[in-house]
Amino acid sequence: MHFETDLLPHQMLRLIQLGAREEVIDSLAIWTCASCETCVSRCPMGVRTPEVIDALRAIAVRERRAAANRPTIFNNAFLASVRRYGRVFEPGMLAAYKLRTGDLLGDARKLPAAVAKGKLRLLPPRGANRASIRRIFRQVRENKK
Amino acid sequence: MNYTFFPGCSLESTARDFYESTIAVAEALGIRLEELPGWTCCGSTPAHSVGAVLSVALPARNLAAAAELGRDMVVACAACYNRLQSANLAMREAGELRERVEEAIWTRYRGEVRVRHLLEVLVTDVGIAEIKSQAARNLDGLRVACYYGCLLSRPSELSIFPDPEAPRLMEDLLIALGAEPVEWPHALECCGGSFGITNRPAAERLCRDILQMAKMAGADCLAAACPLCQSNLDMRQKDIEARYRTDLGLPVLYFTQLLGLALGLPERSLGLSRLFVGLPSCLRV
Repeated sequence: MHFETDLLPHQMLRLIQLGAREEVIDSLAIWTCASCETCVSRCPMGVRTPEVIDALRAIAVRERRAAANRPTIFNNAFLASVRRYGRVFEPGMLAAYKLRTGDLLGDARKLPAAVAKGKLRLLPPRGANRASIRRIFRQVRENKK
Repeated sequence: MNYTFFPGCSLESTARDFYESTIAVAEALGIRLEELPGWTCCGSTPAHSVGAVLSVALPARNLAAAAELGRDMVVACAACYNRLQSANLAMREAGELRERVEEAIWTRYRGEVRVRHLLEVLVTDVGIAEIKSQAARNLDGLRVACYYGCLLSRPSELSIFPDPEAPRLMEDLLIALGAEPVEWPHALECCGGSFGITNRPAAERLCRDILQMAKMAGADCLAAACPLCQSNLDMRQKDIEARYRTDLGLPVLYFTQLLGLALGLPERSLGLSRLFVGLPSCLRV
């Protein structure tokens, strides 16, 4: 995603070393990372940049500096679906995502074909061990307090 | 050959054809897949963007449940494979993270379950010679661009390939079946993953580069091993053609669908009608 980003991986790491906290946390770069893991698998110094970026995202979310961006809204919609059903219910997740971003028409034209081809389930997933998932989410929330 | 099977959310929806062809191929080759009872989402990318405990606990819960069954776990989805394997590695290391995950899943789990990707099980446990002997049909010089994407090969400690920068498993399998894999440089490029939803122009640019490169290399179709890659490349291909005013028309099949065709399995059992870009003409029966 080099064509969309404002910082390349090595620049981001240098800024962290220099203590430029705000610049890194408010950068586009931490949200334009596709988690493709190419940087970590080729880094001669073994720097685990994707994990650094995950941590920066978590800080940005915790400090409410990322609430409006699409990846955060997507992540929240995805995890809400998992918390509720134990598995992802794509139509529910996409509806929640679209309502919160206003991106109502994106991909709408593909919906009928996806349904006709059986590529979008219409009923919520069944059979997942939901109790264990609720416990995990509860525990994670309590740990944060 | 008995395994615990972890399908994952995509195989129940956007990748139903991957599910169908996996089951059909496994059955034909004598691989017994028993679905993990009550399996839950692996957390995918959203969980690790939120926090380490959640991202390890979601897959670890499934691994702990599989540990009681005592078999290797087979995964078809590249994203689930990646999360399950990396949770396994995390749980083998003593420390605060493991303690907190074990607390969240209410189980002691130390990475005991062997997590395997289907592609590697086919090549290693069944064997290419055996698969070849069961083929009912020659893929007859079909030129395939084998596309692996990110999650089967990176980071290198969980790669299913001896050389993470030069994966060969799909090529070896397809050559045995009579296909002719093309040499191309984009086998490990990223399709953009969930940016297909959150940043369509960017994902479409990445996918265009992949499809265009495959076409330039002379491919008749792509073989994919990841539901996210497949849907970005297949379902979005018309949009990509419109955005870039280009003509691609490249079918993107799961490797299990190509294998199923070579094994002579009926098209229906392989979910081929679910593809957005139809089969290459040379594969139609």
